Amino acid sequence: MGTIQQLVAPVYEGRDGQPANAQGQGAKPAKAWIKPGTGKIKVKRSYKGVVVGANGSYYITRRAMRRIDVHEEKHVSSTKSIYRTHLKPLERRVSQRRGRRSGLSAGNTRDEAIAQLRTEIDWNGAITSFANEDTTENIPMGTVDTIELAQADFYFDYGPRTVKGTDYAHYVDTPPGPSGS
Amino acid sequence: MKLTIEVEKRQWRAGELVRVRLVALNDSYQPVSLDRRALVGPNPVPARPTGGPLPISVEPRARKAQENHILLNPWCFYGRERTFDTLPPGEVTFHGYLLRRVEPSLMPAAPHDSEATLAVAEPVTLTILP
Repeated sequence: MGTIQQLVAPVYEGRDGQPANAQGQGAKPAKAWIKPGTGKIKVKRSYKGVVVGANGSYYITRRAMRRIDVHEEKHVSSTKSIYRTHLKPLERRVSQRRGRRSGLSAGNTRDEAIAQLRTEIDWNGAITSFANEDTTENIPMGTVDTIELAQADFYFDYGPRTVKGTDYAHYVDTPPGPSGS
Repeated sequence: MKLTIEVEKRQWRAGELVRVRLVALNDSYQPVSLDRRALVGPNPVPARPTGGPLPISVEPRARKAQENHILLNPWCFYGRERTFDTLPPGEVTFHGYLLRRVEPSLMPAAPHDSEATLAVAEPVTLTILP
């Protein structure tokens, strides 16, 4: 699954608003912003492929190895897509509010401004949505695995076979597979 | 046709060689032609899968098309034994089924097209102890 490698929650800063002066001028709303250097996420997804040939009691053909790689790339693509859906917009929202100058003007008090900014950023919501969807899609035997298993070109276990003088309990290949000896 | 999954025992230790047989019995008084390519399993499905999907168990096709077919006389059986040495700890359920016709799209417990199943074995769950 996608692994969140770096997660630095945003630190919210702000200032109180300024009431109008005696002439009724100069009123300023409160403001909130995200402290620079905070609000950072890094996601990584990688896989360890299999080697062609002997893998313990399994013999993996070149075709099967390629198909396994294709399968793992589907997981990587899936995580990237889910990242683009939930975390890219989050990064954009954080970036737009990083630093005092880019802050959100809202409410009368610092606390009010920060509360509104938290809602706008929705940090926890986005992280949770990413994690939940990535788990559903990419957990072992999740959506990606289930769809892949049903594909006609997926790899199968053609059973025991001797390859170059060595007996293997499982000869893994893609259709049409080997022919019987 | 009657399908059964046979195992020596229900509890195994991790690292032990687990033996599982899928047996197709002609439980009738008429000979039946069975296409080996239509017999699928035994397929392990761990309750807590780790890593990539375990491949579905099938047989290699025969060099000559007619050799894929076996005539099962009344109360005779055909089957296969598979061994597994890397099953994860926990429960693992084995599935097997016989198709009406060879299908390209298969899942561990049934084909993608549920209408394509002729017979299904009662699943058997093993416990792999750590």
